[in-house]
Amino acid sequence: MKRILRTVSSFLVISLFSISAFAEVENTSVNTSDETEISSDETEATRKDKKKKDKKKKEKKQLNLGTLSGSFETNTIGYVDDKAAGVSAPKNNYGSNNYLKLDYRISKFSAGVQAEYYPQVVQGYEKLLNGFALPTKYVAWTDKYFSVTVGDFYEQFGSGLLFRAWEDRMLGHNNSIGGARVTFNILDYVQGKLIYGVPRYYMGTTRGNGVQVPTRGDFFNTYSTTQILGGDLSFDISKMSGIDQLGHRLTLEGSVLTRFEKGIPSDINALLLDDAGNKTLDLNKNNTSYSARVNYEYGGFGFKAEYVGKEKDIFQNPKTHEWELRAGNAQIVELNYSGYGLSVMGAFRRIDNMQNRIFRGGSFYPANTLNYIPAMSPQHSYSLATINPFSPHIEGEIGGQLDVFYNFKRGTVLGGKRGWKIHGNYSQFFSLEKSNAQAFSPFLYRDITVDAEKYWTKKFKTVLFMSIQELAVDGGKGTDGRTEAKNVFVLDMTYKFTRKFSMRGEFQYLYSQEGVRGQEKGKGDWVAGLLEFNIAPNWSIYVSDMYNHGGDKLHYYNAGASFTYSVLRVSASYGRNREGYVCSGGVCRYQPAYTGGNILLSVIF
Amino acid sequence: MKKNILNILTIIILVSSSLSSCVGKHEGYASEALFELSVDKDIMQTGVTATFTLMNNDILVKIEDAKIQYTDPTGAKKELESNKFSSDVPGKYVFKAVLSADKLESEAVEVVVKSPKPEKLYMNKANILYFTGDWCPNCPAAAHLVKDLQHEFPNQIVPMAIHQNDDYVTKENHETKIDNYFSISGRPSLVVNFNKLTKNEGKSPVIMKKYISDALKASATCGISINTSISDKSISADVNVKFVQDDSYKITVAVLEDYIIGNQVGDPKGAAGHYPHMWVPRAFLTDTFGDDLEAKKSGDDFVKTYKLTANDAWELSRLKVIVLVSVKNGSDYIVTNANDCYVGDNAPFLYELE
Repeated sequence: MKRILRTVSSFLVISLFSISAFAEVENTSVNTSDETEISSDETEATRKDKKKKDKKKKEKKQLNLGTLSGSFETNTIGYVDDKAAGVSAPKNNYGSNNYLKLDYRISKFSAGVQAEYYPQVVQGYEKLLNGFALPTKYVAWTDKYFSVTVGDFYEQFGSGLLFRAWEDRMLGHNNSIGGARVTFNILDYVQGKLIYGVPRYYMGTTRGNGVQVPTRGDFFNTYSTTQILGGDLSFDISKMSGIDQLGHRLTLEGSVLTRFEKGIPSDINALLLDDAGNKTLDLNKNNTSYSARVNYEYGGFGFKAEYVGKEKDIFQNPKTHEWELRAGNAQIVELNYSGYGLSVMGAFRRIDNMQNRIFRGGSFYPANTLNYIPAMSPQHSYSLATINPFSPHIEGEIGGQLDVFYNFKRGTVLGGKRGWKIHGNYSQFFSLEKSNAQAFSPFLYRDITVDAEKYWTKKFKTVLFMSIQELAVDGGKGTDGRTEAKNVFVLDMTYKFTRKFSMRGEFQYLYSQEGVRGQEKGKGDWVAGLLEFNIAPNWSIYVSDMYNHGGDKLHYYNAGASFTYSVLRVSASYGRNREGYVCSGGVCRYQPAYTGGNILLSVIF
Repeated sequence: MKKNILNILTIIILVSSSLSSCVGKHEGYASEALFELSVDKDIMQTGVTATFTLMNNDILVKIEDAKIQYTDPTGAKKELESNKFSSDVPGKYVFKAVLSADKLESEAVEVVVKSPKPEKLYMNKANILYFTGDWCPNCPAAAHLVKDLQHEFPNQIVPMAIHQNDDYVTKENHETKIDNYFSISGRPSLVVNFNKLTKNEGKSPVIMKKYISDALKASATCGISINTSISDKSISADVNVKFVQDDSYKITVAVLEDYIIGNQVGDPKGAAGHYPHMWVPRAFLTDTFGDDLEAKKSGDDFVKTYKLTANDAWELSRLKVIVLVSVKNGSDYIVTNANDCYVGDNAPFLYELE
């Protein structure tokens, strides 16, 4: 009964509100036009000035050699043996991830490269990241109404449920596309993209025994052997009909993506013969997926809906463990309202066999993906709130989230002298019945988060944070039935002594009766604290500790400092870091605990 | 003023808390309770020993508490004296177990005994390394796949589980060495015959079938026999390898334990602490990837007795000796043939069957 009430209440609210959490596609179109409109009321003198300036500009332009920008980043850890934590340092006691990015732009032409060097990848990252390579290299021409890119690029259609190629260095993820992209914009009424290419797969693949096997590619070749072809169109209906003049914005969008796997399906087909020699599954080398989207905005109100479908694709039936061909689909509906200090966002999402892999069979490493399906719950930053992270049940899940933010303005009855902010989020998902071993839709995960921020004086601010999290131990497979709840409470205080010097302290407590992922490890309550000194604008120094007093009774201590000056940011830390589990797309990675020193250096120029 | 704020905070916390449970659900799904008889070999050569296992409600049943009856190819009904069965008469044998106390009867299990082909060509067995951990929710499905493959290629698969970060890791931690050699960073993962190219994150049955069938199709380069004995806790294994192809070889000998009952995430039995962990290495009697046998010529023999004293925590009747012979392949060695037998049994040379 309690569960029914919970479900009904959460979905009633979710059906009323919704959220716009569509990740925005990076806007790559840059208006480099030199045309300048001159208003009619400009005087003759100013026109002459303008002409002189233009002339000077042109002269300057002739000397313009373009601009070179770039960045260098290293994440290097020195490991030590730590008997108390039961961890030993890897070979040569270090791990190092290094990136050098260079971009050159002159007028409408741009070109760039990204080099990556992993002499020995940092622990917890895929060991497939190994050696030196130049995975990104491109040349591009960006005009007012079109652009052409040849080389490696990132791209996203809609929310990314259909297609997303992106880089996330913190996760060691990069599935950029090597090929060509054309974008066009017809008078701002119709915008489109056309892409063709080969997705990157770590440091490249080779074909062994009929399947793509990750290996160290050569210097330039960091690609898989799958090819993709896709297109995206967006029609601005509000502009076409003129309702944009009334403040309405309505767009209709659609995308299509087809992937062509070289070799694998025929290899699989040869094996999928039953005893009588008949084919049991008929896999195409091509697999096409498509999406249709509508976006509407008026005033502070917004609505987005997306439907994504996928042709029949290989799927392992969780009840029978048999492989079958099943079409995939997904739906997202989002509503949001923002105004008068109130922001309400709500979303509903259902996914059914919508994982879109670079290649089927073979490796299920996290980067073997062409689309993006994140867990629809808040991304926490407090350390105890991230002990048992959610991951979506990629084979099929249904649920939603509601996010409310309210700013109690200063001077109002509730706002008091300085006002305060409150934020709440409720997200809950269930594993789809046909995607798990049970004959119903079991609980998958739930997060209830409330946080309130308040300035008590000009110098003193507090944040109260509470997150009640529960997740299924089996990740929605319907094979285990147990759940783990973690209840996290945080008091975060900041005091500004002077304009430049401030101090921040966190006190965190986690109440739980369970471990992590069905284990005894990390079982019971945790307590954590942090003390941070900030000397604006260059220095930040911190010490922190996490202690599992209900479990292993080990201190996970850390101390560090960061220094920022102009283009340089350096941070150094030393400490004991707890182990964790990362599950993605049906594969779990154990991220080992480590003790050591970390240097993170980045230079952006 | 402050009262208002406190009131609102209290209401929010109370409403939120009432919507959620602060404590997780500790009971797993009910697993199907049944009395089950299983055998380690569906099809076997004459003279080879099959071992039966009895489970009742996910608990191992001692053979003394049950009877295993069978019908031989002539239709005669007989009873086993232990959980071991061996026969020199080819044909189909049908087994059934009866639990003495509850008079529960198991489903029938068939074992087909076949004679070797007259040309006596050695049969190939393939090794599967099954990378797992009791914390890994996706791993039971991969174990299920390995068991399916054992049925599909009867008596031709020799699996070994490679655990990480749980109680089933060897004292010397051979597992980390194996993880590093194959650059394993995701579980489950399966490797066939130490061949790096067959590393398969996830669990694709079609790809695994291809790897296995390719490995088994190759002509055997050697035959392996194992004669084991146990006295108190001293285990002795006489290993004999007969080579039929000139090459450089290595030999790996390990002792595994089957049916170690414990926790496992991602399985209803595991949620109740009743998951049977299979193929768990307890000790390696050679180097992890094998001792060097140097260059061998066709007709050469290798004979050696390996000895080990069992640990008190090991269940002696569930210990198994496995032998993997690997052959030089470029700079690596890949497994070319394998054999296994429970401690106390003998595994003769295996030939291609009729």
